[in-house]
Amino acid sequence: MSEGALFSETTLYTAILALYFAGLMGLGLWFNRRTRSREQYFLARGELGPATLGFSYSATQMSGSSYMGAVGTERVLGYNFAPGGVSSAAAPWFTYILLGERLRRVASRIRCTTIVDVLQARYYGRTVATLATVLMLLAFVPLIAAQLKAAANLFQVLLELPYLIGLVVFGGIVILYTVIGGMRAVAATDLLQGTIMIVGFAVLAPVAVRAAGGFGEMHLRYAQLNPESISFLGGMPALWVVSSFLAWGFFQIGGAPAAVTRFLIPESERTLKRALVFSIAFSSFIFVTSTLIAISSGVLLPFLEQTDMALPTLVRALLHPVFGGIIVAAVLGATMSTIDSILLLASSLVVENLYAPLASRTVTPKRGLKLARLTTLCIGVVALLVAIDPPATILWIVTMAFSLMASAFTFPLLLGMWWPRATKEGGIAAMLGGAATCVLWYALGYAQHGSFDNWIGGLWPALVGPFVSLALLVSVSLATPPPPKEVAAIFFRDLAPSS
Amino acid sequence: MTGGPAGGDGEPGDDGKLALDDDGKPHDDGKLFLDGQRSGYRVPVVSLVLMGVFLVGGSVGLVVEWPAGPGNLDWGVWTVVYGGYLYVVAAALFHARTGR
Repeated sequence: MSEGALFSETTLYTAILALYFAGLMGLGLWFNRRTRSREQYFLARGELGPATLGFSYSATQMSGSSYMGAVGTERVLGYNFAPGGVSSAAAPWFTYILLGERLRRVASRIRCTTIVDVLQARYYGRTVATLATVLMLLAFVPLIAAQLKAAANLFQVLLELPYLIGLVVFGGIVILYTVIGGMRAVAATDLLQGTIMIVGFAVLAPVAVRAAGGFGEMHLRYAQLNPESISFLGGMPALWVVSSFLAWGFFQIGGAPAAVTRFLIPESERTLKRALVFSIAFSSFIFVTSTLIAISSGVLLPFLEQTDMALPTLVRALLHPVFGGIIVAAVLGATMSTIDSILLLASSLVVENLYAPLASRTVTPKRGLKLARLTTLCIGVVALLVAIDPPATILWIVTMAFSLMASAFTFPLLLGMWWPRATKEGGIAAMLGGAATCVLWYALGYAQHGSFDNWIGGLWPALVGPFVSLALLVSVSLATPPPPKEVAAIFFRDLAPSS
Repeated sequence: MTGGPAGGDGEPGDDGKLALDDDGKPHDDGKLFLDGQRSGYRVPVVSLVLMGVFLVGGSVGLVVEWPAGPGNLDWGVWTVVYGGYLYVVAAALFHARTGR
């Protein structure tokens, strides 16, 4: 702070964030008054335009981890890790084309609310629905906890708040916001936050690169400090680098169910295609600038001990608090987008796929909505408790949750939309086998390396689990009777070769 | 999601429960397709090929030796990382415009 400045840096950051959160709360309340049923609360079908849908998908897919975790990790691993960023940016391309349109068509036929509804219809029974719900809930709690940790770290550096207080303040705001707002509020703020994210990184990236000496000089200095990380190979095993490239894009099909839920919303193919353009432009911009920010932070903050603090420390060192406030709002926006979407999906799974089928009486819209909000609150509080003492850095917590879901759901979803012969038994075996393999691979990796970020041969669990799942899905399906004709009628009637 | 009546003539039911019965199994009452969806779905063959090229080409590009390039980076980083971003943006635009 310069001498004679009217406000301290911390006061300015606090004021900007307070304004930001007040605005979000206002938006949540505004949408709250327009939400009449739990389907509207969870999905807002047909009510979102391409920009909102596209930004909402990407803002959910990316997260606090994209900013805090990926920048911190890439600062250390450099271009060993950068292919994972390219792959993550390509994720909308894979998911929209391989899954999005198929899912949109099916969703409009069976009028589903959650991605589990689709799995239930495709694999004809509640066993798959219950299994999928439990697996997703298992992955969601640490995923939300990781986002909360990212936000609390940010509050720690920029607002000088103790970690626990930052956690409670931010967690409380996001949970309350999601409880009152629902999907329309979440998607609308995703668009706003996505825009802020772009502006924030557009400001920070050139400033950071320039401070590090310019593009060429920055890489020269980075290579001197981290010679193994200036290219793809050197720091990490080749198989680690290649499998991170393969895992982060294609396997978002199963690994990001909260983002994939967006495909249940649009009612036209045109909206979906236009949303893809927004998603891909947004993701690519964010990941390119993240790489530049990460490399520059490697040069400017070579001795920073806590990896996850790289981004906020850089912001504080390089930017005026007003611009810094924008960046922080952007990061918190990403974090919030992910948390609120996951919270919504988690509570919709509990209400729609666990409670409603077992309820002895019809769940009225009013009662369903109340139950949904209560569930959102409960799951949020559990995640908040986990975030008090999380087991690893942000990125690797997120990676664990992602790997588990990618292993369990990628091929049951993908083949469920494209292969008429996939059966219920095959789907169950694939989900269980994929998830179990993923957990086992993590355990073996931990036994060998003593950490959750390296594995046997460098092969990512998000790659091993899905391939076991695929093998099980195909073999068990072929060994069991074909699905009922109703499944083929609903899911595959319109599938025809390209002309 | 529980069972419920289907909407007629392609109109969605008002309870969000068109096509699953009480056991969570799908049923086809012949009214499931909205008008615009009766047309066949075109498999986006070109995009599938582009995805294959991206995954295979990118993986190979990560393990081969690349000569030094501009900006104190090797050509591999320029090709797979920065070129990769351009590739996926162009491929997504292509799909959005042509549907292929």
